[in-house]
Amino acid sequence: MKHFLIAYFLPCICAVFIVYLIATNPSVNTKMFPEQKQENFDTYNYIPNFNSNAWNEEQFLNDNKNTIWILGSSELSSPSEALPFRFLTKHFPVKVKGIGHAGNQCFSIYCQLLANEDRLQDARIVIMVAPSWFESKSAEGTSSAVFLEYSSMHWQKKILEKEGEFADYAKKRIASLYSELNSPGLELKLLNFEHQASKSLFHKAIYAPVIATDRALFTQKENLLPPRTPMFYPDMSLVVTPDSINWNRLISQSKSKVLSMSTNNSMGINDEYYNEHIRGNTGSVSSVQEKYNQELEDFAMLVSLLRTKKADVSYIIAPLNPYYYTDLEELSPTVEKIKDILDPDDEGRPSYLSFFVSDTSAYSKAILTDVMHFSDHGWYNIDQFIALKYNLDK
Amino acid sequence: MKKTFIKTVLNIVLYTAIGVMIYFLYSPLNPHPNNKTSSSITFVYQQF
Repeated sequence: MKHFLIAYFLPCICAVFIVYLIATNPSVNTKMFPEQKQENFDTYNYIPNFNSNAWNEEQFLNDNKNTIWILGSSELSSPSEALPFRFLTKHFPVKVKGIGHAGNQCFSIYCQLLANEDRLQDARIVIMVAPSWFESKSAEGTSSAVFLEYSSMHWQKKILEKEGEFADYAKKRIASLYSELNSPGLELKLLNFEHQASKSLFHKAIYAPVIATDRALFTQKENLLPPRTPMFYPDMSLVVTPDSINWNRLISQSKSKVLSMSTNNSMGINDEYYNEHIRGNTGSVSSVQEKYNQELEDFAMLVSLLRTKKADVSYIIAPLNPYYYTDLEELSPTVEKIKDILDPDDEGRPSYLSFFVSDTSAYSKAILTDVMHFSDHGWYNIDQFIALKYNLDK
Repeated sequence: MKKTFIKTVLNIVLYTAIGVMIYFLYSPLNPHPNNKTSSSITFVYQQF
């Protein structure tokens, strides 16, 4: 028995202790699991999602003096060279960075900004607003899957630590997505429980022990995980072609080019896209009443957050092709509501640029390449708007 | 006695190596994609 204790049991206890010391030592963990650095810094000009990438998260809203942030959804995935984060970065001494892919709607953007609200003041931000967010199923708001793609555990923790109207709204919305989350982490659980507890004193009493337990576990988790290792962020060099942009010529040339690629239809749709997806068909929108439109409420909160935090923000309202969508007037009240939410900025210039029209006679066929995504011509118009808004030409 | 001592030391080394290996494979800090939903401290915490 004594031999067993000394030869087997004692080594076992010693090994557990040594492994515990190793596992809780941040410097050992840093060496064992070195953080993967992004080699090509230029790729940050556009990232489809944060996906818990520490490098991308730390860069977000950093260096606002030299950077303009474009946040949007599917239109940013286009490979076009006319997109602001490619075109403006090449021609002006400014870094323009694009973030988002399909589904990155208002609440997802709201959480990204709320987690980093201390960096919002004077941050130059452009929000690409798609009318399709506010109709049909999209009007239910950001999906839980997309929300998780953009809001990592670290950003959920930041939101959890905040108080006030904006944090309460985020907790309420996360609670509404909670049933869809498979195996949510402690941060998401606490965000949900805190919203449930805020409903009444009775709820508060019921949830108090659960919140206390999860808070204790959360503290343990914080102690166990080493802090994110500080990384060196080299400044991206600004490679600028020293030429002045003749906007009128650029925009008119791109218009002719886009129109020349639409020859087999009268809708102004690119030939290839038309053959593959449209073939003479038309589409319709399914408008959602304001009181049931979750996306509209998310949008109002997003605008309010940016206004309160004094961000230097502008909005681009994208069009839908009225030749394809034959009942766009149904969506007009929603777009008018979006415009109402957006007040003019301090200098009296509109803080938004709207391309949305419901009438075919007012629609410029070259703006879109398909039924809802900008063509090069559309993007150059946006580039010019951004250059004027943020005085890039001077 | 000496034999028991050597056995004890070797067992400490062996058990520690096994423990470190298991920690390396299943730590939530391990960025390997296969580790994302495997048993890990994150997973254990998520049960609460």
